[in-house]
Amino acid sequence: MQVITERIKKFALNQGAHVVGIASVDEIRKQVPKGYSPDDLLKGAKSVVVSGNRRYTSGTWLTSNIDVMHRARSAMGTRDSVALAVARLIESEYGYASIPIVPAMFDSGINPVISLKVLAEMAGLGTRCMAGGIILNKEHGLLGFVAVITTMELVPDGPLDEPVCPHPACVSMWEKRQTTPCMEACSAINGKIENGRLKEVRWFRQLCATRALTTMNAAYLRLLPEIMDEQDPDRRKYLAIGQARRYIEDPPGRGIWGRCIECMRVCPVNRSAIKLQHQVIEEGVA
Amino acid sequence: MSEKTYTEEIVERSRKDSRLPDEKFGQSTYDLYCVPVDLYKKYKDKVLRLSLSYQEWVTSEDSGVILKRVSGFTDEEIADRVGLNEDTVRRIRCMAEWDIPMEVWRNAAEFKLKHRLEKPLGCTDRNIKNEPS
Repeated sequence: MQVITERIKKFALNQGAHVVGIASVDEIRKQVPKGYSPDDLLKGAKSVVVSGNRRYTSGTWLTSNIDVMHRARSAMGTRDSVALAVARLIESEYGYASIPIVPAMFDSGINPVISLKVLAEMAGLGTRCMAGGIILNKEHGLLGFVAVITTMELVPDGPLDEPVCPHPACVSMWEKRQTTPCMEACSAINGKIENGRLKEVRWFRQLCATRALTTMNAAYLRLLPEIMDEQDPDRRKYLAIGQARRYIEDPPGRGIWGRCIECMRVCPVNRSAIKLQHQVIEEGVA
Repeated sequence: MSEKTYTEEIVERSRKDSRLPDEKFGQSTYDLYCVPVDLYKKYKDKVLRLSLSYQEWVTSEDSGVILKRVSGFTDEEIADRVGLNEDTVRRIRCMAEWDIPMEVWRNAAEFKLKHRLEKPLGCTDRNIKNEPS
């Protein structure tokens, strides 16, 4: 089984993943509420193959125009195709049922059908951080994850032994000022550090959502009742097509997600990863 | 030829396949998707604070790397805590998730604009005044 596990991991890497790990469904079940385990989605599921892709190149992180950065997320299409390719490989070559899980698989409202964060953490691809419980990878920083739930028994990697967050610089900052770079950057993030480890992590998702999902269709739908309530025809018209664009754009046509990255732009773990990636390229050229 | 209109026939067939009780048919559009406004107002804040809209983790008892979830409950878990049924909780949550003043979206854009000017990672810090954040 070890050989097959390694072959599947290598296949995912060849498909464009930057990191790959395997999580055990039995172990995931201990971490999630009833109804949100992989075997709730696929009866008899034994393993989850989780892969992660860097969301941006180093250069994209360094751009002077943040809009370039947000639009560059389209390159993440590669990530979703990794999940589909791995699922098809397992089904066609080994005969086990598999489901590719990609972000934005919503259950109801904006609740997901399953937590990709939990899957990634249980596959050893990172640990939860202070910034909204994002799974941070020590080498790559912020990653976008996809997964494949399968009935195939694979050799699990399991969670990491040491947390990625907090970074020593954040521990030092906490000791001096009881805050961290991410907390200082964004009020959606709050928590405590004790003895160099995360003690409490708190996250106001709906505040984060208005920032990260500024151009989501839901933002325009939120504006809709205000447009309907406006009595003056001219004001109503320009509310619909005018000034609101400055803040929520025209999401029905663009729908760009993830338009806030401020907590990660100041995160020492993420910044180290960006720098590392950059240095590797420079050394490679040299 | 059927005496019913095409639309009536579609409605009848849809009702048959939905397997819902008769009292669920012919509801107003509001009642199809939402709960009564007074019920919504009574439970909105409780549901938001218990749902994934507010998430909190603490160090686990074994001090391992995996933090313990103390908030961010499922609809079923919230239903148990507030004494409503799961479907009612789900409706309240879906009504509430985006029921936030528009000002918060304006503040979001201003936050991003100012923060990226204060903390530029890149080589320039030009102020792009006419572009959305």
